[in-house]
Amino acid sequence: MYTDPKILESIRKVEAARAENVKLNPARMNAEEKEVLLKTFHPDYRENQFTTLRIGPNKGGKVPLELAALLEGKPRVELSHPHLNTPDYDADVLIIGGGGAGCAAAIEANNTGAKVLLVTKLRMGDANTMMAEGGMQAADKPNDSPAQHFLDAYGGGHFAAQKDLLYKLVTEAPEAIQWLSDLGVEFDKAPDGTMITTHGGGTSRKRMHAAKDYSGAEIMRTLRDEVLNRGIEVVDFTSAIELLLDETGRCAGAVLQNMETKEILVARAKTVILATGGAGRLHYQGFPTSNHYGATADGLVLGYRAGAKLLYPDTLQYHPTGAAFPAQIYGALVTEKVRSVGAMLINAEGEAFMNPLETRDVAAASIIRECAARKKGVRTPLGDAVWLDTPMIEIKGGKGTIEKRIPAMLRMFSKHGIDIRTEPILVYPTLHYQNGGLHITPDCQTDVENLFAAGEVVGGIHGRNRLMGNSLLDIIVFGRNAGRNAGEKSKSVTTGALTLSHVAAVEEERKQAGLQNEMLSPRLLPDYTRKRD
Amino acid sequence: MDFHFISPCGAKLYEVIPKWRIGKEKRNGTYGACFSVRKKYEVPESLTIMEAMEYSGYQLVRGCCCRNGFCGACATIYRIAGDRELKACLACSTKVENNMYVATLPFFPLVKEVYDIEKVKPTQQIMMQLYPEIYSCVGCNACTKACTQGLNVMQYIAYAQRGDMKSARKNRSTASCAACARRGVPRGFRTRRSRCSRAGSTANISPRTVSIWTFASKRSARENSRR
Repeated sequence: MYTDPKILESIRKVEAARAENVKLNPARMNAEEKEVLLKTFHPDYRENQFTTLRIGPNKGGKVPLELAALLEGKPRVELSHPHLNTPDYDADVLIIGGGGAGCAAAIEANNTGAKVLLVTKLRMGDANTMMAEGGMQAADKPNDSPAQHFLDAYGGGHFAAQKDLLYKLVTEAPEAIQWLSDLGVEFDKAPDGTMITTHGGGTSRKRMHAAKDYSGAEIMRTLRDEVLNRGIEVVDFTSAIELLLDETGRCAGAVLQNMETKEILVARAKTVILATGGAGRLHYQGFPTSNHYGATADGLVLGYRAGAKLLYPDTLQYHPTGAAFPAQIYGALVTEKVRSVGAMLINAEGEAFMNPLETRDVAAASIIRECAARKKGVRTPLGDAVWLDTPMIEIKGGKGTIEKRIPAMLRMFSKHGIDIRTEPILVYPTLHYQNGGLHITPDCQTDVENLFAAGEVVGGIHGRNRLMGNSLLDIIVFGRNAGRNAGEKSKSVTTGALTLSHVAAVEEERKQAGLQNEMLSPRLLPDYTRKRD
Repeated sequence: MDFHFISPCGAKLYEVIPKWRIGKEKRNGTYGACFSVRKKYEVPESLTIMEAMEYSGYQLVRGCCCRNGFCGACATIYRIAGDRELKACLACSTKVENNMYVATLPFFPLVKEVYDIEKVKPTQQIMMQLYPEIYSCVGCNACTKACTQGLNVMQYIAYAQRGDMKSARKNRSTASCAACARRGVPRGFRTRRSRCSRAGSTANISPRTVSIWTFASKRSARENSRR
């Protein structure tokens, strides 16, 4: 509920200008304007928030301060672990991470006949996939083509995407939709069964497939159900704290830790898939995040120590519309779909200051500019914000559109006394997605043999910015590929003795570089407990 | 603002519990799923239950994930001191209230019915076969009252009983928190509903109910994709 008189006054300005604003279609920025805007206001360009790595495969590369602390951090595992070669779990394919990519990989690996073990830090399905709202892109309409999809994503990612990965993403997209649909994901459909598709930021065709604004939850629930139906072994509340290599340097398992009892366990596997997701909970530059509780970049640390190279670890996605009010949902995601069905971004004075469907990085930078440089933000208890004028949706789409198309948003705000059908909402950028991550080949193979990766932990698929709806797509396309390839590969692998010698080497490198950092890594969970002095 | 935890989760917890009081819930006027400890904290009133727990020093392991009302990991029951009614909510999206007694339910013995989506048909028979307990529903509507998402759970159960997958799947905005299924577990949910008390435990909608939503949704989606 809005009670602050200044906020209420601003709402009146927004309401007064609404009838005029609805008719507007602000021009999109040209390439040059975008570049200047990004360089001045996007958080990725704040040089003092980055540092160069002193150890590992990316030595000399630029990463955010918080990530550097973990990559250069102290391993959790004890090198003298005595039970390495009497493992607690033995599998063909070990999957670390139980989100969308991990589950898709588990199903496909199971299809190859491999014995699959899926370990996850929280519960299976406790992942960013569950929270994805907007939808999933796939070029499957007559006016569209994967080539068009490629161009949109390549341009949106500032021409930095790995072309072979992006090619795979867009060409296998329609099949991914079909696969999910066959498993029982209920995408929005017209009465005759035709998929309903909409625009997202930066798309030139309507190719966003959604399940209301619960797209990710719908997909995650279905995948989780399928994993259970197949009897795949799943271990909840158990995180990987280090990868294990065999004496020839191939990945051959992981050291696990029971999150509650802290018991250390060893899993041996012929191939390993990292599907650990993103890093929002590291709160880069102090930003709030839309990510789930366990998004702490564990996979980057595990892969890096084992010798896998990172690609673009310095680029993060700040979702332009995180909830900025009330405080209880600060940083929570307000789906891009709110804009794709008609809401516009409005400043404190009631002015529409940008086209609502710019790409995410541009939209985020534009909101930061509106608040920081132009001083036209709305003052809230936690900082400045701008309006997202949701009542416009019903003016454009008719009464009932919000309930029908974005019910989760309606519910999220109504819990806090805000009816988004009649009142606008306050938004500010929130840390949303890790564009960078482990380098992989199109077969999902990392630089370490027998170590595969899929999902948000991978870097380079989207370049330096990701379009809406391409991450649900990438977890399915690359999750399935990783599962299939790791399953097939496991048939020809014979595992040697397990070692932690790569961790000993990292310790040595840390010492050589004079690193005093005693922070344990991977982080596993953020610590939000209050610290008393 | 006074705030009371009863069964918070996480391993660290055990170090701070002063003593165990098993089976004394009623006398204390508090309730815990398996144990119950009075412990009072003062927290700012702007916090959610989850933030209040963290403010009070608990590092959460179970019962916390999306922190935004989607995943259902933090199903919680609470009572305001003196209030007869026991309520259910998600800890991440519910604000603390004065004299709130809270028990998180981070663990629940769910049973997942296994089936092959290629072979099952969306009929009443298959529902009877997979989820027979839903036919013991006596219509007390406690499941609906427990729903943290404000869904009409009992109505959806009725659809499921009839094998009407198309209608039942409309429930897919569920957070899968299982508060509806759990409502049979804490006695408090039952005490004021005589019909359920008489029907006893057999009438309780079982934990398996939750997997019905996924089942119904998946089956219905399959039908809808064949033109």
